[in-house]
Amino acid sequence: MATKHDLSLVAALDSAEITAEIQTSYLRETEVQEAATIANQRRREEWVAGRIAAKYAFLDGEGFHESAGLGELYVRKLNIADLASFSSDAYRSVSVIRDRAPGGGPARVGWSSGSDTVQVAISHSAGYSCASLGTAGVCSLDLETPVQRVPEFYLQTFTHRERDWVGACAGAHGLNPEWLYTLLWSARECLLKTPRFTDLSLWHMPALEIDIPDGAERLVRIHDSKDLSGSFEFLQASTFRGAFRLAVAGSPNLILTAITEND
Amino acid sequence: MSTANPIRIGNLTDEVRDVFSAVTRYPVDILEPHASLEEDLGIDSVKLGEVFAVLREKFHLPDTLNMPRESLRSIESIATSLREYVQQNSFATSLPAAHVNGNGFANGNGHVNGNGHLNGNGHSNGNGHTNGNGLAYGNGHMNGNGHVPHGAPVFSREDFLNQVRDVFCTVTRYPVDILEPHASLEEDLGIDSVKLGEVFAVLREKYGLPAVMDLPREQLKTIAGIAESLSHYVAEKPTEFPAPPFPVAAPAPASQPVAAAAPVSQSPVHRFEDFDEQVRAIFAEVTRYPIDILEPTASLEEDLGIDSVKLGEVFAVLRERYNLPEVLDAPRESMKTIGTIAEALRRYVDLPQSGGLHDVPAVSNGHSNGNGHGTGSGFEQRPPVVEALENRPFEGKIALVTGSGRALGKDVAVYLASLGATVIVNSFHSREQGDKTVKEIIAAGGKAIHAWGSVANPQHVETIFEQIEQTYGGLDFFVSNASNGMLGKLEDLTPEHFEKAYRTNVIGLHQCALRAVNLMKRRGGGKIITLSSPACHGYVDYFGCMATVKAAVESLTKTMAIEFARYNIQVNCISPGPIYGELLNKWPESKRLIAEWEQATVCDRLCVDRDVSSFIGYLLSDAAKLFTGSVLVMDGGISVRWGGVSGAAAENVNATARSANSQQNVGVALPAYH
Repeated sequence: MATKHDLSLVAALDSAEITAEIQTSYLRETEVQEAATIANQRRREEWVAGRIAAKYAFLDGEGFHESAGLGELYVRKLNIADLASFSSDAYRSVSVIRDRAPGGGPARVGWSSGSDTVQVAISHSAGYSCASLGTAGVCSLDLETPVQRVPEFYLQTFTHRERDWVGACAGAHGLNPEWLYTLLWSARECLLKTPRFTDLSLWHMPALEIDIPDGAERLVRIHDSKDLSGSFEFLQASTFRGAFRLAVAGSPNLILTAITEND
Repeated sequence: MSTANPIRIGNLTDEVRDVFSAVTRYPVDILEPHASLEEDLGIDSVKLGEVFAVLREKFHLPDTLNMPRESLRSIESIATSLREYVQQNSFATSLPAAHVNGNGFANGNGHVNGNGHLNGNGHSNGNGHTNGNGLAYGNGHMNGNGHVPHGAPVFSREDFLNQVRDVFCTVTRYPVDILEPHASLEEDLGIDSVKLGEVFAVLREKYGLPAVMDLPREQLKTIAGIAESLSHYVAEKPTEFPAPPFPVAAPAPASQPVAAAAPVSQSPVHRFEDFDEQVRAIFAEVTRYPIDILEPTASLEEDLGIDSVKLGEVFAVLRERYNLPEVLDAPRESMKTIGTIAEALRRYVDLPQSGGLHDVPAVSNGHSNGNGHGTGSGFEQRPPVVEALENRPFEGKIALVTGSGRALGKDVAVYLASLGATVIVNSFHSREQGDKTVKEIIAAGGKAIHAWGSVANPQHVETIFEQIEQTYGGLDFFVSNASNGMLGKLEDLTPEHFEKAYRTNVIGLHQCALRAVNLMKRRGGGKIITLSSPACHGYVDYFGCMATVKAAVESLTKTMAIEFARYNIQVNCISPGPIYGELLNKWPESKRLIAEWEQATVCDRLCVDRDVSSFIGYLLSDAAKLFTGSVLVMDGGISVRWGGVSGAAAENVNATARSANSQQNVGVALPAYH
């Protein structure tokens, strides 16, 4: 049965939106301390943005704000005004808990005072962070930036069939090949975050050939999208462990993939 | 004239950071604004001086700028000082230069930890180390601070320690102040095993030390420990060191490995220590981070900011370098640091190539990456997209055909497009024809773009391949058809004719091929076709210049076939005889020659474009996978019949030969021209 947290919002937050004031007023003290232990500045900022996005998604779900309806996955790029929809006290009342055990499960989010928490998927890239939650909603998220990689990356990571697919899509629909390769990578990484693939790691990426038999023309809308906001496109895809439905959102500079638990 | 930029207060930290990045070549991500320049980032005073020079130039800062030493510890503190300066001076570009502010560049102590650790993880700076390296000498000969007890001999322990330290200084080029005797060589000073090997080699040479010494491994972790260990051997050389030997720590058990051998050994590539360093070096190569920053125990994501895709790139390189399996038994937790990754991969590297696969999880289900790596049995079982498209076997393939605005090149482009390939039509002299070729292809339902430019012009070549890369990101086929040259008798040819022909046919091929290979790597391989002429092996009227450069093309083809094979790229040359068309008609005495050539064929006709295009199509197909480095003649038998000499010349040669044979009656085996 669906819960109120099944609303299929993916909250996307650019860490550039986060001021020092927002950081200290929206995060709990322990979270601020944890952020300080992250040495890499970009990563630290993404971590903070991810926490705030997750809290926003949780608070949004609690309040049934702007419900898009069950099952309709969409991404909302948050700005200062969006963040201000909830008070800083509300943000600080919500905790994101990471399972730090080896092979631990996904992070969870909930009221700090309560024991009920819901699963949250968080991903980050290039200063952006995305978060989505829900037991029947998004199971895994992955956000990536399409940039040129070393030649070995293409040769070693992707199969002939995938390279053919990229070539065909690039030729037929004018899609940027780097964008397409990054999409395939992101889909793989999304799979790794699902319960079915907990036994595999990033090393196993070449074994996770993604087959997307059709629907590539629908990627054009995502590829050409002005920014990260908007609805996802769903593609039927498969890997050696079976079929899955891949949700894709993004822009020319970002790719966001999602896999839902129901798939 | 100065090109100073106005300082913008708002983003000054970013601007200063960018300057640091440009000067140090560190990625911006690494340059944490609050990190200590010296202790965390390993930026020494000289490098800082470089940065200041750029800042001074960029912002037109006065040399008299007051920057206290403590303000120069981090990027943020430097930016803050600049910010304050700007706020105090409404315009910051007018103060005259007086002298270099030497205060600003170094703190005088210059301690650099050599590891460039990022902060936040409790990394030490190489100073003030506690002696955790087992140097608490029970015999009381050396105290915990490395000082020599009173009453030391003429050749004192301290002297020797200093000499050893000097050797370290010379080899590592570290300032001697940094080389704290009790600092861990590896963890605090970032001196790896190979560098240590260099030091040992110098010490061995300097003191005439034996190749084999019984040195406890644990004593080789600090300069003090090494000095202490070596002192025993050095002291036995009274001519150099007349002082009596000072006692040494208890000798190592006999079972211990010979000290110093491990780090300096000329061992196989896959020694454990070497492998760890090699993995680290590959991380540095792919991420472009300075290797010192890549602390083996640092979290890839949180300390180093290396994301999953970048890690994927590193894995791809590791996989290729060490022929590592697609699937291995490595838990996710092992992928968090360079050290744990190296450890996880080590056993696969040390095992025979096929040995590491039998005990891994059965996740591949027969899949392979299609490059001969991995489980090896799978790719053929999966029907590729192209196989499902029976009539368009090159669907999804990207093909570049140079010189395809007209004649043979155009037919090749049109033909490959008809087989499903997306074709990059290239033309130079015949630009309009290039556009026309593209239109014809598209009108026929194919896919093509026009990339104008000369293969003989390096800038054009760059532009052509940039266009391909930006449009398609990769390349599957490269047909090198573009040609240029002069038909004429040798006496009519100039050096310029040869240079022009060579530049287009040979240099152009080489340069295009190199770029094509880079794009083909992304596609897992590819095929290159070159074009020659059977005439390069004999004589054909007016073909002296072209025959010469075509001979070079054939030679280059063979070299490319071997050198590019590692990228799964096959290179073949088609050597067609005369092809009907406008070019043939331009040949001097074309009427006579065409008639002679036709007569010499076994089929009474010369080649047409499609003969060659069809054969190119075959060579580009998977069916021709075993062809590489081949020069395939297609001339209707002319060269067999004439042995490489054109009609009139052949008659002359035959006449001469007959005459010679009859007159001299010697059994010289002349070629059979008839």
